Amino acid sequence: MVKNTKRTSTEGSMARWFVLILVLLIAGVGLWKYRHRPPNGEMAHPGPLDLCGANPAFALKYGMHPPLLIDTRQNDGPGLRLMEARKGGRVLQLDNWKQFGYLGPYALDKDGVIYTAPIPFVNLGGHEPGYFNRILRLDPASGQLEDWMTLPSPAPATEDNAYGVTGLAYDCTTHTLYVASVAGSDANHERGRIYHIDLKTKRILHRLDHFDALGLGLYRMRAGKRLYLGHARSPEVFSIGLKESGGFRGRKPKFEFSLAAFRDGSYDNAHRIRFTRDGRMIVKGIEFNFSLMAASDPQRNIYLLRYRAEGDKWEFVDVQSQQE
Amino acid sequence: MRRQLAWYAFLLVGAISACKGPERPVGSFPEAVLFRRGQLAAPDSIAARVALRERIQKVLQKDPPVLSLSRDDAAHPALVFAQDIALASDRVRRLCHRRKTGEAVLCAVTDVRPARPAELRKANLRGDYALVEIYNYYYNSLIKAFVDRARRSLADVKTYPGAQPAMRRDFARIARAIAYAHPRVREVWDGLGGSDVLVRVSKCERSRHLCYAVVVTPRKGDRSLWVLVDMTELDVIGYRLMPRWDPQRPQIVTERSLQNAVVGATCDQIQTDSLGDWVIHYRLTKSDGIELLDVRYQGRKVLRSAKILDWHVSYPDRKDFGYSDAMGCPVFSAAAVVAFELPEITPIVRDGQQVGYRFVQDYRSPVWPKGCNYRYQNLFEFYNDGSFRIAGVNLGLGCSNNGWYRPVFRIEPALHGRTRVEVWNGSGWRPKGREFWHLQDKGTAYSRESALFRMTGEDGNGFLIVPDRGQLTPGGRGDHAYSYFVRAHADRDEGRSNQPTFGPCCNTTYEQGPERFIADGESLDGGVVFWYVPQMKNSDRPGAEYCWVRSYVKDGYEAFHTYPGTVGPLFVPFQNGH
Repeated sequence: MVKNTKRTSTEGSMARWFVLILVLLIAGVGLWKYRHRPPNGEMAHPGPLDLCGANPAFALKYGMHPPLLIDTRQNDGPGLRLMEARKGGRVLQLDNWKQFGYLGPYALDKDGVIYTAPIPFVNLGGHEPGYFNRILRLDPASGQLEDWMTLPSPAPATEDNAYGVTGLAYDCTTHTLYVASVAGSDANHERGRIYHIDLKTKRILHRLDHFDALGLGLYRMRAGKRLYLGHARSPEVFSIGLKESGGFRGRKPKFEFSLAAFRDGSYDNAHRIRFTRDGRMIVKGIEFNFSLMAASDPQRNIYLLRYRAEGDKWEFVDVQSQQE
Repeated sequence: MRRQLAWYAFLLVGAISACKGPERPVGSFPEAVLFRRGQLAAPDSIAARVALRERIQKVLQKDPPVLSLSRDDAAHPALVFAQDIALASDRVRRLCHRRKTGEAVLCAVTDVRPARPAELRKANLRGDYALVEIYNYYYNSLIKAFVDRARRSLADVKTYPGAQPAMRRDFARIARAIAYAHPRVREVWDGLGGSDVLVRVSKCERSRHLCYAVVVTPRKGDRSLWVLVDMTELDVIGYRLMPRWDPQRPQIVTERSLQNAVVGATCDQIQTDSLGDWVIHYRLTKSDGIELLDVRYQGRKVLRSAKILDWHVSYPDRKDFGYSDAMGCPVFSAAAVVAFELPEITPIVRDGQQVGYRFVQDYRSPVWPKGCNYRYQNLFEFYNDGSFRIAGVNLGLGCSNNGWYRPVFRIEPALHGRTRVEVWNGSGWRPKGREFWHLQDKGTAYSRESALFRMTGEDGNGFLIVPDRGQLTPGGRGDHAYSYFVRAHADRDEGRSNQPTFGPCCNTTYEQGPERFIADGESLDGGVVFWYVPQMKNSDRPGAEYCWVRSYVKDGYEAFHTYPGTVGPLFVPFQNGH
């Protein structure tokens, strides 16, 4: 009997410990989930992270009717243009918008600010190679385009690679900007960087080194936020996980897919990566060799992928060749 | 028993060795090789290729001119009936003819298969359809004909420019035969030992041809051999040794990636060639085209450097519209018009006699000759008598038929000591003591040797500089050049180093860039740099085309007729003032 009582006491103690550990474990997971919850407090569903852009207020003053498109296509001349997204819609370009030369990537934030960057086109346009490693800001109230931030370069710019900022992506959940820069890279050294910048303070919050990226795109997967990176040196697209705060998870981007390996794919570089609300990834592929773009390069391919909830992954759908 | 086994093992090893043949380690072959296009790289006797060519000739006599797919080569033989329906339709027939002229252009059925759901969605079709895929060689486009399987009728036809077709099994066999028949490819292929061979569709982005890749992967080893076969020209483009084929992370070779790998490896590398009495050194620069360096004739140095820094392109009907085009390296450069292939050196033959050598480096925009794409060449001619020509060639097309081109040459002759510069004034040589510029126009006089300038070193040796007035190139229209004579400064760059861009695109005056070095009118007392900016106006007038290119149909394929504009002076040497 005593023996039995003793055994019961030991079993009871073990059970209590087990319950306690279980409770602590559940509490720990709960706390971790709480700490890593999305800023708006809602449970996050898969979807794009940059679709909160507001119309710039000045455009409305000029009589432009939303929805508006931002156009930095080089063949239409230097600077950017705002276009009404309808057939025969108006096009707005203020004089001040041409002063920085040809522009490339752009991002629109929740306050209607447009961030963009100058790029070399056909030639350097009289600028030094280091000129192109900067971000410009189009003020939503005044409509003035201004030099906003010059990025540091890991090596002096040379004529071997005049490119600087090549990709921009805005994160609505943190009001921060991801910036791809290939400044300082050369044929033998991949010195590109991805910067994570606080738009309020202009502070560089995080940095990923040794990756030359062109297009950037942000998407929330079921497993968390991911930044997609079009590799400037190959037809491959990579991604890296992001913390809810925006910092990088790890230092090495993960290979996702190669544009060249898709049916009808080409040896293209992923120049722009865009996501839609209905779960599509649209990748614009162009030739990029760190030489200057020709006056007319009509070859671009649009790669379409679809998000698959089962497996939390992307599935290739189609390529469309665009020839002008 | 043991002895018997050992004997069998010996025989087996012997047999494997015999299969492999005499091997060279794969590491001893160049990583990437580009064979010259248009010059048949693989032997012409490959039976499969000869048969295909004959078949194409017959097909071109038919209407529509389409290479049909046999049941044996179709992945879905039961659907081959759809091919007959598609080819009998007027819509498909029209698409295998040139739009402008109605000439027959070559097409090939590449696949007959069930249409995919995404394709049906795009075509707004619902139901059971067979899809007949037809490749148009002339337009490098894909025609998709949807055939209703139940009604056995054509439902829709769509065209996709630039899209690549599925691989035809018979074409794959031909590609493999062409690849293996090439002696240099065969050497590497055999060097890999026992191998798996895979043929897949590749891309020829620049030539816009149908291209296949033959991928040879040894059963052991960490590399695969990629042989690129142009199925339009039916020839090998080149090969590249790549990391072993990994379907999880495929690395692909296309025309563009192969060209960039081969040509990119030569950027800024000084090469040397001996051409008879000539020894030339040269390099492909980042954005100044080919730079000739240290050129010697019969052991004597005649040229320190010669290059074209920029092509200034302007269109007077559009104010300030134009480009400063730099030629150069295809990767990591400030050039927009880049080298796709390595330079070509050929003999110059006149009246059956070899009189010298011609060196040509070609540069193109990505999809020349489409609008606003450009094609230029460095042309150097080295003659047996010691004269040489430094020229630039413009092969169109540009943005309109009202284009002006002004290439900027920088030439640094190697003359002994202080250089004397003289200009022909109609009756004699007039010495010039200070830096100056000059425009070759209608009133310009030339010496009896057709020379305009004379440069002489202290030892009495020098050059007559003969501008082109149409006499140097058949069909030439003259240089109409701005010339600048500038004192050479060892301590100043003044265009010696690579220049990303040089001068504005659209000036029509002498202000093309070199004038900045003569601003102070210094004495020409020392070495001299000669800058030369010829001017050429393009034309698309039929019969009088210049700096222009036209597409036409040749044997069902797209071909180009070029109307080059060639400019640049001839240097004629003299010794002891004669």
